[in-house]
Amino acid sequence: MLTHYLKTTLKQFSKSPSFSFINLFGLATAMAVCLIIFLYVYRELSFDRFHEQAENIYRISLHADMQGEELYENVSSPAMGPDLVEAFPEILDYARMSGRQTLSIWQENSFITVEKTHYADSTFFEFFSFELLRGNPHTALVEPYSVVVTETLAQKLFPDQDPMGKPIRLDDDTRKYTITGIAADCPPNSHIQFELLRSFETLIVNRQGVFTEWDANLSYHNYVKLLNDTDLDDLLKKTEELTYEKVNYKFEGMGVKITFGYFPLTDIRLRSPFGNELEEAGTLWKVWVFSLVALFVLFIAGFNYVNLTIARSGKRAKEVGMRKVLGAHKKALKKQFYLETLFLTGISFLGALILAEIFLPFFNQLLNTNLQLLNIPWWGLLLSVIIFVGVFGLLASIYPAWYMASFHPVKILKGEFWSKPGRFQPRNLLLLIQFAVSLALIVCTLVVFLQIRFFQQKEHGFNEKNLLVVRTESREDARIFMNAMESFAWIEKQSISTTFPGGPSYMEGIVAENVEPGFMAHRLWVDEHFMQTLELNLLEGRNFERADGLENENALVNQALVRQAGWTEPLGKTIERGGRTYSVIGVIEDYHFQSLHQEIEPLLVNTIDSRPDFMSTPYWVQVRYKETGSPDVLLSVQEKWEALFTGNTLRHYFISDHLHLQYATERSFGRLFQAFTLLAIIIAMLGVLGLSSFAAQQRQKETGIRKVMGASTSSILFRMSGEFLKWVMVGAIIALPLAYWYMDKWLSGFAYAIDFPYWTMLAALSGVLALALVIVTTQSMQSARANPADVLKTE
Amino acid sequence: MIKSVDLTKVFRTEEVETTALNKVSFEIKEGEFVAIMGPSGCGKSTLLNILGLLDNPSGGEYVFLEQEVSNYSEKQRANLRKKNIGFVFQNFNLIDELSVFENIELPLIYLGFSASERKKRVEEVLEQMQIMHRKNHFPLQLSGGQQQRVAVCRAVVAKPHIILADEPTGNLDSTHGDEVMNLLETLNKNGTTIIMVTHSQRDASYAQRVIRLFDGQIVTEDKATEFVLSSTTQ
Repeated sequence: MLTHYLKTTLKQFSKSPSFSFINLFGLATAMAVCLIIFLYVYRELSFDRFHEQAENIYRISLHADMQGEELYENVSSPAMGPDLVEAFPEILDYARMSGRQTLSIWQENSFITVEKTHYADSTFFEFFSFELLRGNPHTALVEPYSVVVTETLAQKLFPDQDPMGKPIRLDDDTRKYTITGIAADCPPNSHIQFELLRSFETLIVNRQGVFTEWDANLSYHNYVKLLNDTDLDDLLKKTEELTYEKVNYKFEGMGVKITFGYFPLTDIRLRSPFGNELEEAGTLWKVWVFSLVALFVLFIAGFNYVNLTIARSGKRAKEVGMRKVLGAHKKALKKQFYLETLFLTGISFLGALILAEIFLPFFNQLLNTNLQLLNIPWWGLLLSVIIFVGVFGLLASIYPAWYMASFHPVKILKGEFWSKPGRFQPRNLLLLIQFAVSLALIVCTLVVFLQIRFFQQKEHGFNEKNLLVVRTESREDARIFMNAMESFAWIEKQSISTTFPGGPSYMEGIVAENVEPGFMAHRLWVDEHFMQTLELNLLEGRNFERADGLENENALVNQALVRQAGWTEPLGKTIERGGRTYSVIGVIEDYHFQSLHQEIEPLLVNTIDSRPDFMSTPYWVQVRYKETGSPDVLLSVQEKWEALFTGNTLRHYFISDHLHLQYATERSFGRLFQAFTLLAIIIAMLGVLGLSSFAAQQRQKETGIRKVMGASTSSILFRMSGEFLKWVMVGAIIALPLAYWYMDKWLSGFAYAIDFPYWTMLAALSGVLALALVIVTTQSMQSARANPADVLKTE
Repeated sequence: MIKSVDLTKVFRTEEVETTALNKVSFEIKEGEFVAIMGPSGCGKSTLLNILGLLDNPSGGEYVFLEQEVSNYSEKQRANLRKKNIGFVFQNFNLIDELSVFENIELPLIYLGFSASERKKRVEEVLEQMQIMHRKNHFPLQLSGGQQQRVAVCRAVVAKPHIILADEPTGNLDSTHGDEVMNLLETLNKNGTTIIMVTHSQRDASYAQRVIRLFDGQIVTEDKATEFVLSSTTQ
């Protein structure tokens, strides 16, 4: 019997290859998408779980309440780890790690730039389960100036040599570091990613910062390992008491309070609320969205399979009828159809593996991941086979099997086996959902695209083209660098400032003349060339003539500050800050010194020399170069830099690139929508294909009779298409208002956004209508053109 | 073998009620060759469907092989059908995707015969009907007469007690029609009961008895020869 079924299945396949292909393709695409999503979700859920006792490891987080202003950080003082272990017996161990630093490793006359370097505690390799391939995990990071590098970096530094014990020189540090361990490359599912680790002891012997105070040096990640079944609430309470003794007693009465928390290691990837994680974090929403997409895709694919199969069942009615006449039970027939579906889902699964391999690079680019099909665990593959081939196959075959096995042989022999048309059936509802989802996604994609284009085209109020910024550590370095750069003929203008457009920003409370109370303003210190270099507009007054003492009491302000202060005649007005009084000498036209996500806020500009010395933030040289005749700017700058500051890594940005990067989230959001839209359209159109071919067959007799009565081919096509277009319209009534509501909300999150483009709704509707019309027409054409005599004879 | 008492079949739609069979009573003995005749719409096919256990009557009794089957479920009817009844249709109803061999093999599959037994039986019947050379062909590669011969093979392969034939020569020319009728006659001579619905007096002449229906009722029940005689004298 089984052989017979298989034979029949194969014959069915070869009999209608196009139908089989559509079915296979639809199922394989859906399964491929689900496989990729499974890989993604599995990867996200597995983050940081490879560490032994991962569930007992926590990272200290900081919450500061400063007179109502709240601050959440994932960093804390390096003093905390040791203090906590000493204070609380349930904290077994700690490991500290500094923030990420980019370093140059010198090798004779060249250097390699390494982006992911940290200082790490000597306990690092015992605390975490990162694999140390060479060296002793207990001692590798004990000595000062010892360094552990990853296998890949070791290979880069010392190809074909044993790197262990080799000395290396880092940045401009004159001391030599020694490689004491080779670590395996960090697993991709780790939130900690390093290429090089320096021993923590190096920091201590160099006395880089304070290591004993809880409120100083707040730039380290403190990880702690807790005893099994530790009562976290109790620990938090005790920590709060300790925090009072260590820090909070100092702030009593000042409205400042610091609280430390324990953030689970295994939650960092999925649930981190901190904005400054080194790798992407807070991805739980993506896991949800993708999981829902997978379910939706699978559901729709199954539904389309059912539709297509039912659509074709007319062709198999005679077979089914005869089998029944010859004594086949419903059960036997159902078994046959189950088997056929299982066979199809089995083949589709193989197809899905191939498609997934083809789609993966695209998904990897979209999600910024490196997913590989080979990474799927054996149980995942087994589970996929069970779910996609077994469960899905079975579910998708239930209705067609039941439907076909219920054909009444007498009716089939009379040619009456279709269900009555015209009733509202579940398949129409599902078609409606598919249309609605497609329409909504098209609108969203278009709006996201338009908003990104708006960002890219919006004037920032300064000329972002041909503008390079270079970081220096002091005013003197900046001036030395600028002097050296003067030798290049392609330099148009240069200036120094304390930040650059789109760069870090610094705010302080100021008191403007005649304005009570004070308000917050961004601070910027610049030289006299700043305005010309950025090509800013001066609306009234004058620019700084020099950047030294004579202008130190003067200030430039932007329009936003003038507005905030409510001044009508700003020139000559005074601004107080930190015991100093500045006199406004000019008003700059508003420009976007932050990203377009934020509104332009008040800006106070002073001369670079008036900047207080205790502020240790860097100085940026802004280089405006000529459009034509500029050689490889970066290469020339790099050479000059190395000649001046040997050993220090050049840190730079091209402003236009940097601004572009600021909209990465929107672009990734846009790409995500594009992918889902494409998927939704493909799926919906497969659905239309299935249903329209079903309808065309179902209405063959009706069509024949209409033609006998004198209906033209076009009037029949019009009638059949109308049935589908009706559902597109109902889908539009549901989807478009929802899309409008969601995207309007999304746009309102931007300080500068386009007005909701209503034409996108019309475009989406026309697109879907046109596509559906083409499919329905091609499917109905055969039926509409058929000779009514043939049709009615068959009936 | 077959006994019907007041057999009734009523088709109902929302508004219309049609009585296809109205208290039809008759008996058919084992080994008989009976023809059912009558004009279109008189209820011949409905009667054949009920006799063939493809459908249940709305009323009356139907005794098949000494079992009252009028209220049997679909499953019970299928079980009884596959063991005891062979069907021959006007339009052959062969499955186009299956070869001649596979088409004939089908009833044996549902009866649970082993592959070797199926092969033996199918080849036996192919030899008997002299179409062994066509066993790997597909229905659409055969002439109408050959297709009906395959359909007869399929009807007899499971050695049923009864063969129900619905206009078996309706789609054939007279030469092929005679061939098929001779086959049925031979089968009948070998002990198979045959019930045949037909419009053709020529085909009916092969039968030993003719049941004549009109508007769902039996109007005459004659010996076939007498019927032929009387119709020729008129």
